[in-house]
Amino acid sequence: MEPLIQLRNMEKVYEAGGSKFYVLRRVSLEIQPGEFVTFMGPSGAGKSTLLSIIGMLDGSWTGEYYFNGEPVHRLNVKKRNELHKANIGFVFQSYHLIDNLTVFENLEIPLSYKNVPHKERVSLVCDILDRFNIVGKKDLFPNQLSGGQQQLVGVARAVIQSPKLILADEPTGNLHSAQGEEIMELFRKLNEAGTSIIQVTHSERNAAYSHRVIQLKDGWVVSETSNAARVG
Amino acid sequence: MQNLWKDITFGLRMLSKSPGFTAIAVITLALGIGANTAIFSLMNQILLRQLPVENPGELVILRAPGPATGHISSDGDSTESFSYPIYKGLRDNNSVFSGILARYTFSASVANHGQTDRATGELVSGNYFGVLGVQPAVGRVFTPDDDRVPGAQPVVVLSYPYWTRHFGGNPTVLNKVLLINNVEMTVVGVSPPGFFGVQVGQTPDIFVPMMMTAQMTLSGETLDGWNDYWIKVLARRKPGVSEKQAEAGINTVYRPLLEEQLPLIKSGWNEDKRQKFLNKKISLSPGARGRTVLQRDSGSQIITLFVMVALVLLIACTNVANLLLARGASRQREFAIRTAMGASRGRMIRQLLAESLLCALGGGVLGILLGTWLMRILTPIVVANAGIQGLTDKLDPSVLTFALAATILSGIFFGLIPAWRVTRLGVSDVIKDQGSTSSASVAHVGFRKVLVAGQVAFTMLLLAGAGLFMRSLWNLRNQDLGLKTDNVITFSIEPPLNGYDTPRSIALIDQLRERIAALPGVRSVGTGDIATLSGDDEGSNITAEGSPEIPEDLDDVDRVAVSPGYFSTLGIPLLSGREFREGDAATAPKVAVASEAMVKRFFPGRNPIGAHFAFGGGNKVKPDIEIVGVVKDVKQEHVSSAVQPYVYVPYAQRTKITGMTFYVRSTQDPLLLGTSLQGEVRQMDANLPVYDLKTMERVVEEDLFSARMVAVLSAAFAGLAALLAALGIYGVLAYLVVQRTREIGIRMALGAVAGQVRLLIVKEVGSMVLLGVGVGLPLAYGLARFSESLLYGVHAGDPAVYALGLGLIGLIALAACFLPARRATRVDPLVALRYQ
Ligand SMILES: Nc1ncnc2c1ncn2[C@@H]1O[C@H](COP(=O)(O)OP(=O)(O)OP(=O)(O)O)[C@@H](O)[C@H]1O
Ligand SMILES: [Mg+2]
Repeated sequence: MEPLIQLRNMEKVYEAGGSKFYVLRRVSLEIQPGEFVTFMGPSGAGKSTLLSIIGMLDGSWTGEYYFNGEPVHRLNVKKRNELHKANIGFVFQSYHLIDNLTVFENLEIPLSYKNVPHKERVSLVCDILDRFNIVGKKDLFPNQLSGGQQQLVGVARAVIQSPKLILADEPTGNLHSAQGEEIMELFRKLNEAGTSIIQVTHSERNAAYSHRVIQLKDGWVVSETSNAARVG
Repeated sequence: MQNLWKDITFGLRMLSKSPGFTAIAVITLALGIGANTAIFSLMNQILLRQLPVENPGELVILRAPGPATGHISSDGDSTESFSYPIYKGLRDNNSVFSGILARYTFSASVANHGQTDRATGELVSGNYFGVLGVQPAVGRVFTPDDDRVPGAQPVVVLSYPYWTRHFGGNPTVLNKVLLINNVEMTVVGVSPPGFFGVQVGQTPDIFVPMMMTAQMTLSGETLDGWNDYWIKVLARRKPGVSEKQAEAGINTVYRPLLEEQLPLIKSGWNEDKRQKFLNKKISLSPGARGRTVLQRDSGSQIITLFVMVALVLLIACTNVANLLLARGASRQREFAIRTAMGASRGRMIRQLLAESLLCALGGGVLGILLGTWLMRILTPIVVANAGIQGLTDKLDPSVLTFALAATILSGIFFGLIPAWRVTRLGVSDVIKDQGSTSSASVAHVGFRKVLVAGQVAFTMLLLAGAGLFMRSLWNLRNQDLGLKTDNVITFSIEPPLNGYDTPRSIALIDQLRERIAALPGVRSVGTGDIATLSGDDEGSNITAEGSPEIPEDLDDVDRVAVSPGYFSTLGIPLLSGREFREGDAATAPKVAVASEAMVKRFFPGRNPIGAHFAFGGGNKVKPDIEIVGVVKDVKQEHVSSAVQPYVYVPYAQRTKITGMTFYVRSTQDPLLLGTSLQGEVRQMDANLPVYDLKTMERVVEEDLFSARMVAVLSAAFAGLAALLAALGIYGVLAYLVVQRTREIGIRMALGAVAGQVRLLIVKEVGSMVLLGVGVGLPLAYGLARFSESLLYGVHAGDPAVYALGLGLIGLIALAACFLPARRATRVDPLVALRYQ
């Protein structure tokens, strides 16, 4: 089967005052469809950077990147955006819901950018509210929710457009362990239903939910370990 | 559509979430758009509007520059005046115009049911309405048949406003006989509403066929005099005939007419001048907007004001853009999230634009309300003071279109720049939960400073402009007019319009003077046939006994026919000799009083008392008028006009009297005399209209009106601009202080004292102001040069005005940075360092 993600010799450089600073060095890796992968590593290792490159939010890097066989490194901004919109959902450490929109409207945002017709949008949002058990919260604003609830909405927003891949940067970083576990369980279910997931985490417990752990350090991939003792 | 609706509702929500921002933005824009709407309405009506006639684009105005001699009457450009025989020749022989019309304004005294009113009349050729394609509202308009035989067509068409004002819009007015300038005239029709003739700023009340000229006018305009230049001519090009072709075509007809006229010219022209005369060419200019007298007189005022008010709107927009940028910075996170959710930049810009357009729309609606209110205040003032008739304070479609266009353009201008910049920044920093928004915001601050510098530049321009205009007004106000205006009231009558011949007119004026002098509260009374400071003048060349050789263009003097008591009533100082007395009657020796300037030019270094002169030139004139007195120079025409040489003669010795203006000096408030003065005239002749009854102080104010309007409005605009610029500077500084709280805290922790912190803020202001002033000064000088004709006693580069402008900008900047600087010095280092 074709890998979902294939990186070859990916490098990312920041230039500051004439001197170059490498954030990612010759990163090569493959991720298969349906895989659940964890990036780990010390602070500043380049995990978030790698995640935004995979998520196609960051376009300034060198090397090769194939997504589902498509050469991302050869696509222009518009095409890359299309690919991103169609296939990838994000979950953030600090949820990043839009303060001035209700839960319902926050969930609607990715759909509106994909020009999903109004009727279909409403039914999709209702489905997801149902699935995540947050129908009662749909008219509340983010600041009226607990952190865990906000992240629940964050995950719901990432999956509403049924992406092939979910990218999560320390999704439980701001949550109590019980709330964190709930989110991880959610990820596991989504993964079992076929969605590929890449997460960044500092927590061994969270890492245990994934199939594979990739260690980064100073921009280098230093080790990959398959996770035999996977939770569940 | 769906998305657009989303953008709009979300925009509304965002606006209502920050009511402070929204209110400031909407009010700022409303002020800008309101002021622009009002000024545009004036500009549209005075400069831009086309005549409400059929295909105005086909109309052209005829001019004939070149030598002319004879009786030339003009309202600014004498090349626009034609004699009737020339007009007739052009009209009947040309093949390039579908019609050529002639018209001339006259003053009328209209009696109906024993009530007499003054009205503005228009003598028109029979084809006038036909050429313009104007249909009657009631009855009929003239046809060429109404205009064939001199004196034989006593018919009149009323204008629609006159008809509604005086006859209640009643159609039974048809066939009614009115006594117009003492001639019985039959009403045959009413012109349509909205039609005001062919000259913007005038609203004729009645139209009379040109063949009635002798019966209607007083100044000797004739239908057969080849050398009487008085008629104003417009023509309609035949469809498909270009202006060039029309010009060529009409000149082939013109040449033979000139050849016919040449033998009738009596002046001693040399061969060269005669050739030049024969080579005169008619030139055509576009007539879609009618005759351009008003455009010529008020164009530069209006354009100057419009430029200034447009700048105010630009400053207002910049302010809102600045606010939006500040807000955009705090919404960075929202846009980063939206990008991560797949929003394209275009979509986000569209969303932001929807928001700013909503805001603009709010400002526009409020601005249009404000604008109509301003128009309602401004228009009557302009009508009453500037003598510009027919201005409406209604919001006509073109003004509404302008206001809406201004609104939308503003919305796009102040929305697009921030939207462009806010959405330009990368998203990964924000998404990664790492950076604060500060790095992005710092980039905005530089741009915001540029915007503020732009505001300062425009404000500098407006301040300098306002300064120059205020200075001009001050100079005008403090002119020595040569006369005393306090406690004097004036009014005018025109007895010949009611059938008085000259001896009867003189007798009437004599008696009126006597009766008025006897009124309680009256100190003295005097009359003159040319109203002081009304812009009118009447001149002639003179031949003075023993005068030095005087170049041809300098031998003109202006003349006023006055009564005994004229000088003392107006407070014009007598320098030597005597005033006129009752004994200077028609049969007595001819006498005159000369002005200082007249003496200086014609009798330099001599005692003029007892010297003689005569009006006119050539060998046959005999200087038989004796100078009996000399008075100080007076500003007769306008406060702003240069001093001209004047001679005053007793009106009793004039052979023809048209109108007379009375001046009454009272012991109390002169306005209290108003009704008794009117009463005196009514007792002498109940049908004689009294007009222009007002105090001399008001006469001066009216003469200064356009200078005052420009000064006051430009000062108001400059004040508004200064306020907006101050807000702009304040906004950026306040934001900077918040941005730099941590930095300031660190500096203070390291030992910076309040003064040094304040200096930090002042430096920020300094850079913005210097940049702004650097750009603004040359711009200001440019506008001042454009408007130089509006300046009086001050030149476009007056250093004092610019210095004052700079000082004001400095004050504004200091005022704007006061609060932010104070806040900066109050930063608590401990708190600030924990601040994230
Ligand atoms: N805009 C930038 N300019 C310069 N260097 C940057 C920029 N953004 C990130 N970096 C650097 O890139 C490196 C990798 O950053 P990244 O955010 O990917 O780390 P991380 O592994 O996610 O760390 P953490 O676990 O703390 O989130 C860091 O050393 C950081 O300083
Ligand atoms: Mg990170």
